[in-house]
Amino acid sequence: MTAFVLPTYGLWQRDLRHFLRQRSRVIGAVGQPFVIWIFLAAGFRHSMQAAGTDYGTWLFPGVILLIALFAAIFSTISVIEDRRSGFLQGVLTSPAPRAAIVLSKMLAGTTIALAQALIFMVLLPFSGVSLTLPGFLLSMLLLTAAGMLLTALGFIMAWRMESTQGFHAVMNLLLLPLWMLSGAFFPLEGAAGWMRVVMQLNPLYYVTSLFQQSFFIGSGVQVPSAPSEALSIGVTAGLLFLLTFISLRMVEQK
Amino acid sequence: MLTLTDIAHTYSARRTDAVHALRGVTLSAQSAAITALVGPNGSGKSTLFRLITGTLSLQQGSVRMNGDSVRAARLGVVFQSPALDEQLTVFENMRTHAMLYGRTLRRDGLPTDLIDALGLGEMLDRRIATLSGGYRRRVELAKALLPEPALLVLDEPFTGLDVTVRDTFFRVLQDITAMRGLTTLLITHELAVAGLCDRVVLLEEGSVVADDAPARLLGEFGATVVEISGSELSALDHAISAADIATLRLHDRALLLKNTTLKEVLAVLDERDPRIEDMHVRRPSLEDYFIARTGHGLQARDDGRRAA
Repeated sequence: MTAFVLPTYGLWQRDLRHFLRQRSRVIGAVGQPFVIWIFLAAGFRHSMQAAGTDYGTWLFPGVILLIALFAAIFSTISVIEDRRSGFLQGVLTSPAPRAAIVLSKMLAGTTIALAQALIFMVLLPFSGVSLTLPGFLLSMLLLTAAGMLLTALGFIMAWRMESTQGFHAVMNLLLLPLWMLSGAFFPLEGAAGWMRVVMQLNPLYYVTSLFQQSFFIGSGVQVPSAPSEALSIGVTAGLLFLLTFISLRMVEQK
Repeated sequence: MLTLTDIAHTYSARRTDAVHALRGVTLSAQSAAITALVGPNGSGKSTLFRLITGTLSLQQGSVRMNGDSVRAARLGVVFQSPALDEQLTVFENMRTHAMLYGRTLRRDGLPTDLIDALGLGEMLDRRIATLSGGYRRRVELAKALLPEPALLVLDEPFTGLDVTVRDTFFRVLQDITAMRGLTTLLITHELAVAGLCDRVVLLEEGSVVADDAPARLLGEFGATVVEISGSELSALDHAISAADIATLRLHDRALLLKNTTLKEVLAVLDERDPRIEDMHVRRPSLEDYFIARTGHGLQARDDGRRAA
């Protein structure tokens, strides 16, 4: 047990130290969601509504998911940096189980996402969302799942990649469209027919839908045309399991 | 004792592109001694390193430590490029490394003998990014020794170090190897350092071409050799060989006269009066031995490969 927990804890702690010691990264990570939400919410205030509510209210939980997405990108880019700097080879030759590399990275990305989300929530009074305690607890649980699966996805991309620039390009090409078509940016209901199909094929759509429904518990905001909760939970859990499994298989290969 | 038996390894993207990196390598490294593994680029050193450290799967042969398989928990590794985290302090790097081995490390639990031997006492709170190359190597060595390994493998640990720092680092390595009874395998292309090790294994194109103590390897050269440079070496070689002095062509413009004295050589040169540009007496080196065994120098081979 110690042989697994201590390496995981050590690597997780290291990732958090890294994050906190890079002042520009902390400023960027905390500031970026503020800027995105404030600009979009204020910009579309009088020209756009979503699900019968103020656009800023609709977008708020979506921006929290965007936080998890960016945290996942930045956490997993360190896999490439660690390989280039030589740190990873030291981990690979140690007796630490390779699963500890994956799990520590997933936990670190999720911890950073949760911390950033909590900081972002100082804007709640201006969002129009009256967050209830069950809504808060459930959404944090789902954010944990989203952080884990997005970090696992980033890990899979980063593990075989040599350049951080290439990683950024791929992640922007893949993850940002995934987020934009997840229902976080605009609801499925108002989208064009073909785009609805694309959105329903996007696994992140089910994660987002579940997260929005939890976040809006008791606030009177309804997520229109939401997939069934059972389906969303199944897709979220299945995706988390699948991506974790693939990551674990990849690190075990020599 | 580390024992490698009949190790062969082939890299092949396609069947036609097979590269035989190792061809039946058998060697051993004793405990409380430093064994140097020397060879030019492409000789198979890196493949051997990866097989011993377990980052590459064995295709053929066996790697044994005291008759058992090499367990990561009893293996210390020093990499060519230090596996350190520049953002963390020296102590934080050590603590993270200890945790990878399932151990917790407290400040007051640091092995003081090791920290003192490496001169790291004052450096523990310094971030790695602020340390010189020499100190980074020391931290890397300290980190590798923290789990108290039985086997220490170092891959080109002197890269980028100046001669003074290199020699200091090597002396520390010698002391720690003796103090802890370590089986130390030093992979290097620095023949000057290899000559100071307890045993030297020369690797060439995936095969072991020599394996013995440096003094025994150099026995055939005698206590001193005479190196002569000039433009008409063939005539000179002929004349000297006629006087029963064994010669070795170092390169196009230099000839090595084995097992001889300056007086003997001068007597021959007086008789023949050849044109020579330079002549000096020196101790034989592993580079001489390598040329004698392979027909080319280690450095020349590396340069040739780079040019190609």
